[in-house]
Amino acid sequence: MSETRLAGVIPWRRFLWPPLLIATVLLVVPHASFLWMSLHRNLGMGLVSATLTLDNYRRVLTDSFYLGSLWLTFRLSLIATAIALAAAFPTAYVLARTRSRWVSLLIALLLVASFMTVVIKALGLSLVLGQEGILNHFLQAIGIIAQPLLLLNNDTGVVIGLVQYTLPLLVMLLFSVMQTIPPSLEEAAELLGATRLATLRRVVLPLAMPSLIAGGLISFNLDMGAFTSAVLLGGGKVLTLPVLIQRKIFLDVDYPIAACLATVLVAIVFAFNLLSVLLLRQRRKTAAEGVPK
Amino acid sequence: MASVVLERVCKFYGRQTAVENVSVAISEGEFVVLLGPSGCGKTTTLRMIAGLVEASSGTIRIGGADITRLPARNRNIGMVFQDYALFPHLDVAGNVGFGLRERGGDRVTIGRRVNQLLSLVRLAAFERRYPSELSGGQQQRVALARALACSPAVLLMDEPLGALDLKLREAMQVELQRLQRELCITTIFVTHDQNEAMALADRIAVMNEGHIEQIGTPEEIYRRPSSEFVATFVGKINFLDGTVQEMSEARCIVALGGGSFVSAACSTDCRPGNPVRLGIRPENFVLSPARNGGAPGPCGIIEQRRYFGNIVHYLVRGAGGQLLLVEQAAGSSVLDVGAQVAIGWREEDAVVFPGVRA
Repeated sequence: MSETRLAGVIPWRRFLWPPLLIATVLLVVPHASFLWMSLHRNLGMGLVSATLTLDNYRRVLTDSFYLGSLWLTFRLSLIATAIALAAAFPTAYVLARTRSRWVSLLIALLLVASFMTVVIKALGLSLVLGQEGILNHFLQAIGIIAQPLLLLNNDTGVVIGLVQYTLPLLVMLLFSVMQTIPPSLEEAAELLGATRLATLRRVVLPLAMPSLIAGGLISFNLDMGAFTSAVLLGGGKVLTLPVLIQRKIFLDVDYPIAACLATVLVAIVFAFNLLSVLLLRQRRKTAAEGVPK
Repeated sequence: MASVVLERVCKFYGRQTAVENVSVAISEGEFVVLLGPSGCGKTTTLRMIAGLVEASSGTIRIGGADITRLPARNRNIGMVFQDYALFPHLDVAGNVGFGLRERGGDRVTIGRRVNQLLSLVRLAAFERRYPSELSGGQQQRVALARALACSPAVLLMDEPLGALDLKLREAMQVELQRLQRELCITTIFVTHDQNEAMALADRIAVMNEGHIEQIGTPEEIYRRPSSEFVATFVGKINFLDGTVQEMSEARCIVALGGGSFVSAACSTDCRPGNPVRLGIRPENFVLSPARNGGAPGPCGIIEQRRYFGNIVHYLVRGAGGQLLLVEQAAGSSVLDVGAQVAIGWREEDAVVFPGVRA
C-alpha cells in the first residue's frame, strides 16, 4: 500500500529543475554567448565573421591601450577597496560596540542608501566634489588650499565614486561580523595588559580577518565591474574596462572586441579571487601546523 | 597577593543606582564570595575592582594603593569571565601566554611558564588545542590558567562555574579551592548559587539591591543572618510571627498564633507589645508526638511527607494556620501524614527579626 502511495509522490529533486532552468538562462547563456562572440572577427556595422579566431585575444593582450585599461581598472579597484575597507572597519566596529537605539536607525539608513541607484549618488558626489563644489569652497574658505582640487573627471573622482559605491555594503557586512565578537574578549585582553592598539591587533583584527578578506573581495569584484560610478565621476575620460566595453559596443559597434574584453575581465576577476582563496587556505594550513605565527 | 579594600564605592547609571556604598576589606589570600540574586550589583562591583567599569564614587585599594582611576591593564588583576572569553583564534598555549607576550617575555620563558600553568590546572597535553576543541570544564581551566599567568595580585571570577553541569561544577569547586589555597591568592568570586558560596568562601558578602546586606563566614551567614533577606536567600527558613509578651534582660516571651508561647533571645527593639518574627531553619525543628495538655508550645499536623533516605521533609500545618517546612534525620522512626505533633526548637536556633506591625 505504501508502495502505491510512494509512486504518486514527485521526487524532491524535480523541484530543483525550474531554478536550474532560470539559473541557466540568466547566468550561463549570456556568458557563453559573449564568450562565443569573442571568438569571431569584426566585419564592421555590427556584423561578425563566420569563422572562429583568437585574433581579438591577441590584440587585447598585446595592445598597450587595452593592457593600460586593464591595469587602470585593476589599480583603481585595488585602491578603492583598500580605502573602503580602511573606512568601513572602524565604522563597523564603533557601530557594533555602541549600545544605543540610534545604531539600528543608522544601519537602516545605510541599507536604504545602498539600495539607491548609483546614478543619484554619483550625481550627489559630483555636486560635492566639483571645482565650484562644497568641498572645494570649504577648503578654500579655511585656507588649506589656494586652487580648487580637481576631484572630478579623473582617476581620483573614479576612486571616490567606487569607495562610495561599496562602502555601505562593507560597513553592513563588517558590522554583522563585529557583533559576533564578544566584548568580553577585549576586556580579557585589556586585563592581561594589552593596550587598545594591541587588543585591536591581536584580538579584533584576527577575528575580523575572514570577513575583511571576504568583504575586500566582494568590494574588489564590484569595483572591477563598476560602470556607472566610473563613467559619471570619470567624466568618460577614465577608460576602465567596463567603460571601454560600453564604448566598443555603442560607439564602435565592435561586438567581438567588447565580448573579448568582457571575457578577459571576468577571467582576471575570477583568477584573482581563486588566488586569494588559495593563498588563504595555505596560510591557514601553515598556522594550524604550528609554524611560527 | 594583596589585600583589597573597597570604601563607600558607588556606581550610578544615569539615575539608576547599580551599587551603593559598598565597603569591604578583604585580607591577603582570602577567598571572598559576592552572593546575591541577579541585578544585585555583585558583577558591577567585581567589574569596578577589575577596572572594566568606572566607579562613580568611593575608593578601591589593592595592596594599600589607590587604584580607583587606574586603567584595567595596569591593575595586575586576573579575571575569569562567565563565558570564559577565550580567544578563539589562539590555541591553549596562545591563550595562556597572551598576557606574558604582552608583557614582553622571551619565547622560552613564556613556554616554560605556560607549561607550568597548564600542569597546575591539569591540562598538560592540551597546548595545541583550540578552545572550540575543548569541553566546558577544560575551557574553564584554560581561562583560569590564563588569568593566573601573569601572577596577578588578585583573582576575580564572575560566575565561572555557571555553565557547567552539577557534577563538573562540584569537581571544579574542589579544584578551585585546592588551587586557591596552594597559590594563596586573594580571590573574589561572584555567584548567585548559595551552595557554591558556602562551599568555597572564607567569607561571604550577601548583596541585595546594590548594597551589602551582610558579610561573614558561611556559618555566621547561615546561623546568624542579619536580615530576613539574607535568611531567605541563603538556605531555607521558616518564619513565625508573634508579639513580645514580657521580657527580662536578654530574653523575652513571645506569643505566637494559636495561643502558644515561646521564649526567645531579645533583639534590639524588643518591647512588650512589639511584633517580632522568629526565623527557624527546617533542620532545627524537633518534632515529637503531641501530648494533650502539655507545655504551651506550638503544635501542628503533618500534611505532607517527602522521604529522601538520609533525611525526611515534613510540611506541618501549625496551629496558627501557617505551613512549616521541617527537616529531620530519617533515622528509624518516621512520622505519618495526619499525625499531631509538638514543634520545638532550641532557643539559640531561633533568629529574632523585627516583626511587621499589623
